Amino acid sequence: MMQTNPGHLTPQMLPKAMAEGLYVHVPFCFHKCHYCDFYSITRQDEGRMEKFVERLLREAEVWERSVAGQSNGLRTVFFGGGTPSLLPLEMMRKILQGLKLRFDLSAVDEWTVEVNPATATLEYCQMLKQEGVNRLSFGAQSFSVNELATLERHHEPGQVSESLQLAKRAGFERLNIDLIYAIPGQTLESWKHSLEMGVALGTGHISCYGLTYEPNTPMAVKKRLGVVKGAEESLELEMFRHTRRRLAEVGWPAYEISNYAKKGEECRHNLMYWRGGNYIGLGPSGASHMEGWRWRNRPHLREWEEAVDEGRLAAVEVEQLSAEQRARELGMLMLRLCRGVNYEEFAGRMGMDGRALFSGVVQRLTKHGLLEGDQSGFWLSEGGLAVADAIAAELLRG
Amino acid sequence: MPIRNFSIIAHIDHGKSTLSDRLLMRAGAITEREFQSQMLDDMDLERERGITIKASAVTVFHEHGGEKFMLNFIDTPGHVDFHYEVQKALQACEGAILVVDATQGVQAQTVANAYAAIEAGLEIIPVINKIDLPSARTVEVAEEIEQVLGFPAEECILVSAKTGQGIDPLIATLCDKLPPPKGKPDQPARALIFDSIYDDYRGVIVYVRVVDGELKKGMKIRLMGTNREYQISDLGKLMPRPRQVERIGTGEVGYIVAAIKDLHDVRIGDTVTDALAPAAEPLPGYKPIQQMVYCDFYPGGKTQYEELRDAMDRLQLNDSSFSFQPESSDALGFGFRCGFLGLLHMEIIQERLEREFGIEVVQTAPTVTYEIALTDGSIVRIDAPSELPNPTQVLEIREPYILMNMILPADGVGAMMKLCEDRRGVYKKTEYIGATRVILVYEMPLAEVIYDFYDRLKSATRGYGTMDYDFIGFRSGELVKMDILVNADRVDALSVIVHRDHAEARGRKLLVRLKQEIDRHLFEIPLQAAIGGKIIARETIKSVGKNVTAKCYGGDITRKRKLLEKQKEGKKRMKRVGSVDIPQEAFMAILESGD
Repeated sequence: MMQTNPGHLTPQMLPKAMAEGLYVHVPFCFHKCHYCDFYSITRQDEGRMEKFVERLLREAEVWERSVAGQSNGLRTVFFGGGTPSLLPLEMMRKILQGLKLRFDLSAVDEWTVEVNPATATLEYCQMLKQEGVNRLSFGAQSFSVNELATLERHHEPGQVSESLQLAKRAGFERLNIDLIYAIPGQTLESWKHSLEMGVALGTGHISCYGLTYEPNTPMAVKKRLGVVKGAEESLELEMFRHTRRRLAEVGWPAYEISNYAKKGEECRHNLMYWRGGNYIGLGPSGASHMEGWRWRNRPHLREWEEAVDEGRLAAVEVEQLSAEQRARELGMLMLRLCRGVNYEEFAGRMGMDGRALFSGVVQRLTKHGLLEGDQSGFWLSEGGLAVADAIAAELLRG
Repeated sequence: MPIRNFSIIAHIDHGKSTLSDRLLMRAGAITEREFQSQMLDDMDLERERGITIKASAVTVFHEHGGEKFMLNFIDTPGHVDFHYEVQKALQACEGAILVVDATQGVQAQTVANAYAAIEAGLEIIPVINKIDLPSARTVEVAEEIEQVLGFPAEECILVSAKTGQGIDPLIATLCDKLPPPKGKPDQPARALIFDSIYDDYRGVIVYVRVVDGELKKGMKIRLMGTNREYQISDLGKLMPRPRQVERIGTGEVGYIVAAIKDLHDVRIGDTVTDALAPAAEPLPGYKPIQQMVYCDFYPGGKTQYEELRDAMDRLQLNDSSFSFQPESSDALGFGFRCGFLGLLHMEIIQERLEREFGIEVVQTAPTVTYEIALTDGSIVRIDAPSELPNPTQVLEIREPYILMNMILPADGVGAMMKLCEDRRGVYKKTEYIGATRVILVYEMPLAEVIYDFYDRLKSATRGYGTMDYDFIGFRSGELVKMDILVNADRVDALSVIVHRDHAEARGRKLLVRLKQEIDRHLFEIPLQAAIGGKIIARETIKSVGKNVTAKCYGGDITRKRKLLEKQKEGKKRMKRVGSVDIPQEAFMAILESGD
């Protein structure tokens, strides 16, 4: 794996390739949730945000001038954070319009923006819709007041439904809510309740994430100090299994470990990640991938701004994967999908035979009942789902 | 000039070295200042542990009753792991000073050493040391000596090596009471080798006691055991600094330098004779060294295989009783199978490797040597269960037995008897020493003693108990090889030889231990202990219950992949057997599972 001197990666060094996805990281939050380890800052003013908007568009220009990451292949755009909807309306409009000027977004068929249920307004949603956004994702997390408090989420359970109403009124048809399970103190009953509330909102897409204690988050510290107690493994597993069962029942089956959707409602941007697609990440901490090159932008607003001011990429953790590493990584990613590793698709992406590459592991783990498969590929069995990470690690190791 | 050859023998820490130095000082061989630092022990390790590892011999002169005496101190190793070396050192003497600590009284090694000296036919002078201490129980200890060892209480000489009190009467007794050497000056030369060391500049230095005839500088000598011949280039005595002499006469002690390059060519107990006029018979009692305890050393930490090998080569120059040969284990890679005289010897070697060479070793659990009688009438010795021949060829398996002397506070006897019974001990006798202490004697299989027996004894007696043992030979037993199967694969490195009656309990404990050491896998792992084809114990390592992160990673795939890669690598050094990863610790843990 080659490590390039950080800060010296330029689009010209990258292989000529078509970017399929564009990710924009908006690093502002009103308040930092205690479990979240995505990069964001809470001390911001309009000036700071304006400066960010300006730099973001300048960063887009670095790509516009380059041969790599040609933008006429872009199919999906995703605005995450942070809290993208914290950007004032005019600034957001400026980004949306600015990006359309700098990239060829004519072929984009999915444009998602993450929205905080507490800050959504009709006017804002209308503007998003008007500028081409066609999918909104709301961080509902839970419908229990206590659990929201544990997570340090500053919204009321009822605001989710209100926000969705506004979004629908603004013309959005594609909607998602995020939910979190295995919250300290959460019972199976309480999770079932939140899930039913989510289902009742009728979004057709739902992401259910198990709470993870990321290092250096207040939640992890609290757990270490014994202030909060992580959910029992068996309970978390029960919640996971219930979720899969219940959402399949309502016609939103899982299409990935933590994502459930009505047929056709799957998040295409996320699918692109799991299928080894090329994408450009803009904004501090935004991650990119281009034909086996992976890097992310500096997870620091000022340092990212400095790099952009000098007209270069703020790339850190640059790595260029070997063909085999890339292939194994794709195995790891595709394994998360319900259809698993499809050999034809795998060969199409990698020009490599997945059967040969994974035959040993597949044989061994199939024997243990953790994988299932046929001529077309292999996928996690019901038992394998519970230990998907360990199986992915096996695919990585070979 | 009258000659007195003697050893000082004692339990650890009873003051042997201080007394030696005090005697040297009294004879004018060292100054008061030199007395402050111990003279006879030249290794830090010995001093810290209170054990004399290698013998040496010092010659001093002393005026007594108007006559000048030549006094030869022959130092002995302090532990029975070096039983043979002790025997040979004692064989070079006519007398021994038996030192007993006035506060601690008779201890296990006091008894063992006294018996060894009696066996060697020595005149023994019992001495009670440390009488200056406020906690000294001089009278009681004298009674213990009489009761346990049979030396009249009133004959004990009371000394304080520290203050010098009683030293003059002790030297006087040495001169008066010890018999002079009895060799034949006019016979062909015969000298007993009782020690040897390796010197970087001069090669092997051989310490001898001339029994008959004499050795002269320039003499051509023959070592009768190995039949090798050399020419003496230097003769000398330690006084205590080396001093060259032209000859070493009958009854005297000294050293030979004869361009001998390899310590292994010189065997303790061998006889040196004149190559041109050889003696007809060697001196009695020569035995080749027998290693009884084996374990593997693998390079650990940053240490490389080659560094370990070089360090062991160097160590072996100084200690011919330690052996090693390359070993490669499926589980642990490249290392060495090492043989030792006993457990203490093993510990000393490991510590010296660390201390003198900065080497880190991973040490496997120790095992003993087994003697295997085969159906074709031959006998082989093996030191690893994996060497055991096919069961159809094995008539019987014999294991080393020891005679174990324990001196215990009376309230610890019950617990120790139970421990000895559990460990297949054969009760021999109990004897009271005074009202509160007991000598407990058992015959035991060495294999049952080599792991935690000493620790158990110390904890059962709040630290007051002492033990000592002597090898008494190989005995056949209902011994069987127990195999360990991990996920139905037999793992050679985990096989052990156990007594049939204990196999099931041992097997179960071992599996429980393995279960703790082996991480859960993606599938259930059966662990089985088997004798032949028969499963005698079983455990199961449950499969991993949950290992899936249902988290949103966004596009940061690198991070996700690295987390998974790290998860796979883990922290431990693993050996994959079949599809199971077994950590190195599991291999180390085998004998700890003893009860």
